[in-house]
Amino acid sequence: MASTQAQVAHVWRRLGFGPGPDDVVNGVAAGGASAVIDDLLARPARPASDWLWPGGPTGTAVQGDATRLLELMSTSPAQVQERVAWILQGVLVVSWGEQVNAPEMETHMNNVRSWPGRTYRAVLTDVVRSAAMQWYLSGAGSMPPHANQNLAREMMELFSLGVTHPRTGATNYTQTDVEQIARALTGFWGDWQTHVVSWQASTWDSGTKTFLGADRGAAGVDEVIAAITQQSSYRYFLPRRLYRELVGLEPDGPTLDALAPVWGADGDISSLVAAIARRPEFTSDAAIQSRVKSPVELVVSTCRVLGVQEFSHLNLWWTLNQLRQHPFWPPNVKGWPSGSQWLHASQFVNWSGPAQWITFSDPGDSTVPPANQLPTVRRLASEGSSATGGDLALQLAGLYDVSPQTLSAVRDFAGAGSWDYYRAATTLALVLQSPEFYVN
Amino acid sequence: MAKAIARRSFLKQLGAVAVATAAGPMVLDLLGRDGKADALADVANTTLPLGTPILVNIALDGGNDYLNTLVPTDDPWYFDSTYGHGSLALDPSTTLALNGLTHYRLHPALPFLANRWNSTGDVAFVLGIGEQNKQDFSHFDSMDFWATADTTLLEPTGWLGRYNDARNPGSVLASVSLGGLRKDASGASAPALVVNDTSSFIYSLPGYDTARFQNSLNTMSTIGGSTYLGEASSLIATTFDVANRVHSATDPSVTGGGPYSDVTNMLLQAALLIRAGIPSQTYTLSLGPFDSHDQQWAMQTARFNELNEGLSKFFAALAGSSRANDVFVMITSEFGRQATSNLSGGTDHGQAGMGIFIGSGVFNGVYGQTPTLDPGGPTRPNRIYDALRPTIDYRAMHYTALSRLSDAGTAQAVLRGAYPDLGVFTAPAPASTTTSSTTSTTVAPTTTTTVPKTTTTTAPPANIPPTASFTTRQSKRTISVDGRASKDPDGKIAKWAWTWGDGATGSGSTASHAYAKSGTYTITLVVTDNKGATGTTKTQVTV
Repeated sequence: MASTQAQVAHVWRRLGFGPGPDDVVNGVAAGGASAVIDDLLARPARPASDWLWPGGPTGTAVQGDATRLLELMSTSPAQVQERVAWILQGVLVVSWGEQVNAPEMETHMNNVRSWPGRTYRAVLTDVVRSAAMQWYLSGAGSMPPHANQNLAREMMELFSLGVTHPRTGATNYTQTDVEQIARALTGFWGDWQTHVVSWQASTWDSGTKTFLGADRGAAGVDEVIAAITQQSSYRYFLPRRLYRELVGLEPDGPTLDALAPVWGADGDISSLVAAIARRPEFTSDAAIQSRVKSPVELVVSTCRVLGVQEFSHLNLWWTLNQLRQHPFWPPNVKGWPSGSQWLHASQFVNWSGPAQWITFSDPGDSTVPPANQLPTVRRLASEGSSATGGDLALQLAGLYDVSPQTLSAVRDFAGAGSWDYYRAATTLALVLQSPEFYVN
Repeated sequence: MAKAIARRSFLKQLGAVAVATAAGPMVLDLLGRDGKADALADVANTTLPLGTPILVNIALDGGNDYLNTLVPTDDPWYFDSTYGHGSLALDPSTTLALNGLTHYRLHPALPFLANRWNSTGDVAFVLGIGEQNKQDFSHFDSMDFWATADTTLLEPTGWLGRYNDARNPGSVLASVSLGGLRKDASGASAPALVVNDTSSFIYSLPGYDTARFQNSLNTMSTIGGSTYLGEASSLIATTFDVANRVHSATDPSVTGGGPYSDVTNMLLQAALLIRAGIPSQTYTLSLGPFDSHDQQWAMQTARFNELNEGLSKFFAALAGSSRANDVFVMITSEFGRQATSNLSGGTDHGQAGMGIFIGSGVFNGVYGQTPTLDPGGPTRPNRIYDALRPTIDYRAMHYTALSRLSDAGTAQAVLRGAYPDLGVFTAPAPASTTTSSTTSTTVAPTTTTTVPKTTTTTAPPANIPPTASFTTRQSKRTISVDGRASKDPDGKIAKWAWTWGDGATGSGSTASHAYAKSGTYTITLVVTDNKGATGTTKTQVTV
């Protein structure tokens, strides 16, 4: 049975990007996992006016905006907003490039980040109409009589329904449905010079369409989304995805049946997240460490552990490139892989460098500007000792109930010589490369 | 939760590791002189025996349009604007000739393959492959079919992973995946070795108390168990084990001279490991996207330029190596694309596709059974919706490759069934040429498949002029135009010429123009097809 500390740390990892140095201690004092869940769910979302994408020319914006995103993920008190937005970014996938540059990508990010208080149907509608998605899935320019089927298919397969019904296994749609919905989605037009996408009747197929089991008349985007949300699978698809991401286990049938009415007809994201977080299995032993951190999760959780305040000098976007998960360059429209896909030797090799140089970016002296200092490293150096430094490093990293091997290894290193800033920093770097930190 | 056996505990149980040779598994004793299992033995000492076949698998992710790869230049249906590629069809005069083939020519961005066919004679094109029962148009389902050689979508291991489970159990070097972990490389008995760059494949250790730090990591690597935690723990040990061996394969004389495309870099990494004798028979990587729903010409040409560069550099890197005659490349894609082009200048997801084998032991030829392009009538009964119908189970590709790597029995065991050997590694009988004047393709002798003549080969029709068409969009006094809807029924549009009605002109399939003064103007589009015929249309705009 996991300790209360381990459960609290787990809640922080699943509803956010991991605990900061005092979050577990404070959470235990506040009442444990349930209290932390209530606290995180109740935190107000940060408004769009706080997001402040630096933008700029494409070459620099893709780095600057990525750095800003990592900063928001790491420092925002509204961790649930950040965690779910990141999940949604992996569902409603758009990739930077081609016609999707900073303005389009920032609008897309704003759409997925605006989920608190909105329905998934509303978010989906905004995303499908957005220039980013229209360019990325080549909706812009699709016209009758041979509409392209890209957006129509992925909208159902990846954004809303899945190929088959999660409960019955029945096929959710046919190729004819794809063709008919592709007709309905025509009319979007992209300007190759300005990248602006607009809808114009002259390239829209105004004929009647029949899809998803009914005659839909002269359907367009709204009618397509209305039809999709009427499908039984709509009540299961995103709930299953969010459950997998947040709990780390595969939901069984009764669980999905219980979550479907919470999700409702339009997709109540906030209520669903709360319902999942309050299920007993969310903090169960089976759920703890049942996921593997993706590179973005590794980097952001490291920043939270270290208390990184200034991000621009760390070149974290480059680190993520090396780790093969730049947040704006998904491998395909399905997004990034999950689970053990991130568990391989190259990942360990590639993480070993950043885990150390991020930690060592603050050498601990007075010449370092305050914003570039790493408060956790300095705190460990000052509060720890050869005898206590190992345990304190694990605690500051939010790692509890660690294996005897890891505990022994960290204690051994911390106690191997005189306790100074360098030993403290290196002990923390060791913790960040431990198996317990890789898993989530 | 992870199900894989932790490698170190597996090795401790096993005490040995098997490495495949051409003659069969070669079991190496890992017991050191002190009697303890020495997991480093396979890493430090084992070299793949010379003469052992080596596969480099390249997946063209996104669904490659094979009709515009190996172009059926004498099939009128290919050029048909209603049932075929229409304006997307390649002008035969721009494509590359393949000696002895009269029905097919190659995409112009693949000169390496054409030269290889024409000079070395070790290129095999396999037509008609695909999943034959599910009619699943999903990328990701289809990718899973290919990666696992299974259509249930429930199979956790990849076909190459299972091969290494069978032939090289427990070896951490046997299943190499380039550029990320691909599912086809995943087995049950050992993790796939993911290599991005041998030169940076070094575990970074801090300068402060380095030995103690490494010792602590070693302690962390002994947690064990089949959970993700245990797997992560054992991977720390694996990483240390393999890093030196992988890093030592680095050779700037092979990888230098770039910058190269990603696929070239990955192929050069594979070449380094092969040259170094890493005990692996299987390398896998991917190139994409090929998902050409729009602007197919530009997308596919860009990808083929990358593939061409990659193959060229790869085989050049192997030339002169003792392994040069051991390596063959297999290229696949999860499906082909639909026969009829859409009006975005692309094609949508299809079914039947094409595979390619290149290299050691391969005999030039067009193998398999080409699907007919004849739709069979307005309702297209010969097609699956608008997709060409697969004629051969895609696992024939896996079976053929695995049989080459080992033997038919192993291939059957790994694939849990027997599939046709495509015969690409078998010298063709003299009768199996590709020079007949029908639409049939060469079929490997062992498959004994023939293709009924489905269309009559006729002389190319006279050039039909293109039809100009465009749409406009207005923002204040700026007009944007898009002429991509223009069509040429027997070729493709080569040029778009715009006159804006105020003396200005423009070019390109899309364009925009800002008028200096308000007024009514006539915009004219003249399109020119690939054979010089033109079509014109005009429209008036008021700004």
